[in-house]
Amino acid sequence: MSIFYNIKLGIVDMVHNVGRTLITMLGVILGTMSIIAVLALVQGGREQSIRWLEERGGVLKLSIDTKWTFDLDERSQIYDQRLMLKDMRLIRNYFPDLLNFSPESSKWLQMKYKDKNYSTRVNGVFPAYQEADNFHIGEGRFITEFDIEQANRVIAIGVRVKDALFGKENALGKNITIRNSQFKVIGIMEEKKMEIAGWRGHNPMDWLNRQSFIPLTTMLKKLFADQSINEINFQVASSDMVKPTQERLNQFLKALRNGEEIFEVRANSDRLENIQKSSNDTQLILMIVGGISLIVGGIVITNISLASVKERLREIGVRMAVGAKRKDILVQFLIQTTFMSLLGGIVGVIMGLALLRALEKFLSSPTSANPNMIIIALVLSVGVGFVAGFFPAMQASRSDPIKILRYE
Amino acid sequence: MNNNVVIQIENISKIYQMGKVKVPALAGIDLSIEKNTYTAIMGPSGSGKSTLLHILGCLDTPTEGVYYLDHEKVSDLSYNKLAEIRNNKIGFVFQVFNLLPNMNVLENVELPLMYAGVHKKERKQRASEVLERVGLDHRLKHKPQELSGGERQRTAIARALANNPSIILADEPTGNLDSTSGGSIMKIFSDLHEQGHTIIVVTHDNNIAKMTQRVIKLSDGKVVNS
Repeated sequence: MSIFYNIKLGIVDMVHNVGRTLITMLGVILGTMSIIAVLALVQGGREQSIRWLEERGGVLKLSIDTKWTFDLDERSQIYDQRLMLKDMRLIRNYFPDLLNFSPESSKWLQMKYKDKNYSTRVNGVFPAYQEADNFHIGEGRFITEFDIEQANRVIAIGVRVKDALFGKENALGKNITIRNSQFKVIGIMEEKKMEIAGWRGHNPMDWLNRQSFIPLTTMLKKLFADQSINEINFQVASSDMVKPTQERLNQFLKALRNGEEIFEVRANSDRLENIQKSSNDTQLILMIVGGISLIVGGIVITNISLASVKERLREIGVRMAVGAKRKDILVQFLIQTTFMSLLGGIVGVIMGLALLRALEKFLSSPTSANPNMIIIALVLSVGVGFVAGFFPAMQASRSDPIKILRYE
Repeated sequence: MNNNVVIQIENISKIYQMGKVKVPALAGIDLSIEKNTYTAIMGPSGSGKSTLLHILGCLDTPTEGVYYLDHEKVSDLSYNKLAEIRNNKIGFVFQVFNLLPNMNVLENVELPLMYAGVHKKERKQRASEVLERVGLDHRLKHKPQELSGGERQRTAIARALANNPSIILADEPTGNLDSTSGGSIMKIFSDLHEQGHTIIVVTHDNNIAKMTQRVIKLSDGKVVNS
């Protein structure tokens, strides 16, 4: 008794009872469909978040910032205490192995060119900013060490700033007025772009294109005199250095403020962990929902197979009369339910993939299906068919041929 | 025991449990049947003749008593052993044919060969041969419902013959047929007898009984004559 013979029997039976077969498979179809959809949606969201992180400096990036707290009293105290230029120098000296060390001091300022005004965030930065934030110059040049030393009044502007102030006009070499000082435009930043499904063509990185950059020293010495720094971004050489560096720096920052926790070191890799943890949680919950529909599908299979066994008692009796062993009958019914469930699984996978395309197209949800998910879904559907079919198949194989055949 | 004896039963009884009531169907039957004989079992309804045939065909087991088939004690064998015996030693023909409606004639006849583990090519070959013997080689791909009653019964006989069993048991094989088809079916049984098979037929019909060598009459679960 080959598997193929039994599958053929199953197909013959399914063709004879198309309606019943469809109802039997429905639960499995819906279950597999939702599992595929869930896995691909969660994966799509996760990949998107990771891409976002990559755009923002990658997993090796860390930043020192004022500690975030929900306690408003604590927050106002903390915000009085800024990270100062001298703190930055100490950190730089004590941690020479930090890469792309990039302190930033940012202010919201108004820029003027001829009769045009533009309010934007101006960041005082080091040359390392480009690498630290993965945001590079597009045209002209960026701020150099020389600019830092001399505290030059030079500025690199984002493309939106350029559009707003200069339009089609060439901006390089022109002077912009900020707080009554003249700044020479030395460069225009590349246009930062990120494709995100769900944003309907909107660029989630466009806020960066509205910023401008001047030397940190210029910001702290020529424009303002408060010497305070908003944050320091940097990278470490490898991922196993993230945690130790974070810990050592936190200790150091605490020591700088007499043991008070005013600042904290945040790592992109922590955010990555958070993203993965929350997407794992979502995935688990949705998988449970999908799993429940698969179980319901299994119950439907058991139910209908039991009815089918009753209906096919005569066939069972005849098979037994001509020599079928209990095992033969068991295998026959088991293969039939398993095959039917697999078929349901395949239909479910196809419908799931179609559903994903529809979600991508009409709701612009990011999705990412891969062969593993299809395999998981199919294995689950086969498992459900096997487990659900076992009891009816046992019933069938335990039938007594003479009881079936005697009453005619 | 005579070496020619293929079926030997001693003091066989069968009691059915119908709810709380015990219904005796067979009440102590002794019987021996020799190789290559043609036997009819007769008796009124409820006399236990079908029950006896089912026990002889290893479809049912006796409540008490011993059954030797080919000198092997089969009355206390396991279900699976009995399935093997049904598969290769006995061919059973039912009054209502009991063909599988979803399968064609050839596939129905292949069924016992399938359970005997015969490979596909040989299976088709042997099934076609027995169908030729019962004159149905032109109906191989037909479904049972496309056949006449006589053709269906011939399919069932072909199925019984497929594994070339020595014993053919038939439970009122002409009971659902008109007299012409019934006659041709009985002709087949006579031919099979001549070819060396041992045949036992349960029947109401005296004309059929006349074609056999021996008539066993049952009444109230007992052998009246033999």
